[in-house]
Amino acid sequence: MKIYLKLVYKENCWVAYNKEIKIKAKSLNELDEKLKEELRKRFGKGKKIKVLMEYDYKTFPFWIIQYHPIYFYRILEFNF
Amino acid sequence: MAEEKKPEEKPEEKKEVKWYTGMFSTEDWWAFWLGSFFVILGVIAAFTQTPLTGWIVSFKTWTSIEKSIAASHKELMSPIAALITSYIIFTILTAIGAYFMKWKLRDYLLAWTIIFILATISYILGKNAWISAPSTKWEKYGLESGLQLGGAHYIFALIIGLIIGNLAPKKFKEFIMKAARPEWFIKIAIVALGAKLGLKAVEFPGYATHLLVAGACATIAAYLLYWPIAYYLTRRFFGFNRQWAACFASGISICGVSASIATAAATRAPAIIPVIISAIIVIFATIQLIVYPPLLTKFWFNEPISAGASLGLTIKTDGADAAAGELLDEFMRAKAEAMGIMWEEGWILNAAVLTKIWIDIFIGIWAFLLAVIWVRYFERRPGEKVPKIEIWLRFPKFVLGYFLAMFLLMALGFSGVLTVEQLEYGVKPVEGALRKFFFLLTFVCIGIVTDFKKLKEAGIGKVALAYALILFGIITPLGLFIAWVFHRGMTPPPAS
Repeated sequence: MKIYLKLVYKENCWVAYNKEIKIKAKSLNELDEKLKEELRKRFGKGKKIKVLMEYDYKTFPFWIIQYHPIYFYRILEFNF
Repeated sequence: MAEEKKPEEKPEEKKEVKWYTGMFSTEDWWAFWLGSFFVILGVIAAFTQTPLTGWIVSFKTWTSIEKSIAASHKELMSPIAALITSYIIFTILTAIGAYFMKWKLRDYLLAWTIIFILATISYILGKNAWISAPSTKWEKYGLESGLQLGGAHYIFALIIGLIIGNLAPKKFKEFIMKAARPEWFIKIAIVALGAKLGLKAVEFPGYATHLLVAGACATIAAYLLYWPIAYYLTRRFFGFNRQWAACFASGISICGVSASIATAAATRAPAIIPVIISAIIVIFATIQLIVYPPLLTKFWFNEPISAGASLGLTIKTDGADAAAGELLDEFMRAKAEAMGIMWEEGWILNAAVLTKIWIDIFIGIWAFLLAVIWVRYFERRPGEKVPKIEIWLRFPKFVLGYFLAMFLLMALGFSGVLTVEQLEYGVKPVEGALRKFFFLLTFVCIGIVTDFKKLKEAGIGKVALAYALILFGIITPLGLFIAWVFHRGMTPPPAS
């Protein structure tokens, strides 16, 4: 199954979120660990989950977006 | 500075990134669409020999102001009608782009109109014969003296922009920024420039091939030297951590802001890093735009193509590089003309732009490789995959328009389907008048987005110092040398 998340960097933390999930961590490694734990709790064993995490580019200043149209696009795969 | 806005509370669900993502929502793609539209309109005009592009307003050197503007095909309409038609058509087309990019249309239209007017005023003022005509043409204009400032219209446009960007009230500046998009306007102009190179390549195929091949080689040579030097120096002498050093090295040695953002993404750096580096890049690119063309004209006049290429290797935004290339082209040709040498227009500019375009093309590949290295070796995140689609997503799409325009014109010319005269009838207004007007819009906008006060802001001092030292102490001398190695002895072909 696929999970879609938005990612931002806010107040020295990475935040990954959608309507149901919101994970916050100091580093991306920590964020991935917390996300893994959250997904394990929600979906249990025997699941293969693909997480598509797109940086919320709207949080960049408007003047900068003209120079490059995208920032992050992460793909994470978890096998529980 | 550059505070991030609050994240949206309700994100869009199930939005997977595909190869066509951004096709109607990014300025890069819209530069491709609009630039290609104008070029194709020119080609249709060439095929049918109808004045489909004749309405584009062209600015002339003048002694009486009523002769300062004209329609590209003079017989088609009056000068004022051409100016109004150009305003209406450019407004509608760019507004369509703004609409699809979800900008506030009302704000865009108002701000765009002001920028259009400022650009027009700069153009008319700067093309005054007393200001811009070379001494060889004084007799033609009935002058006994003059300033001989070729390219003065660009300088006026930049000064007006800089006044707004640095001295205008904050509210007005925020408002005008809604349409101050130098990268968008220059990319539209660069697609049109591709048509110019295609057209010129039909007449001078050897020159065009040299620029293409040598430009690519020079770019690779520069890449391989710049990046490791900048990375090492910032780590060793400025105490940057890996992420700062990588973003900085990419920004200063590859394609500026876009490279810095792409590298920040590849190294999973927080957004504040590329935002700070980008602010510095934009400011220094404007300084280079002001300083390099006159210096190169004065001290490197015997190497005009090398000088043009060196701009592409040293100025790190597309807008400032192309703008500097255009200025250098004007300055060099004006100096040559004063000496009785007539050089074909646009070759020095194309040397600057082509070199930069090669640099831009590689950014996707570089960001992808860096991301793979970072995820696998530095941070070791085994669950994370680096999607190959990043190479395509980061590829500058306006470059497709540039090459499409160039090869289309070359194919039509070399195959004999259309003669050079037929092609010029339709395409010249696009690669000439339209392109130059979009260059001028770029100059105004570069000024508006350049805020020198940003250099004073907290946390930026050390990065700015490192940038200045490496840019002027290493990148520029190396860029001059590499450009000379690949283009030495080359001058533009004589003007026909």
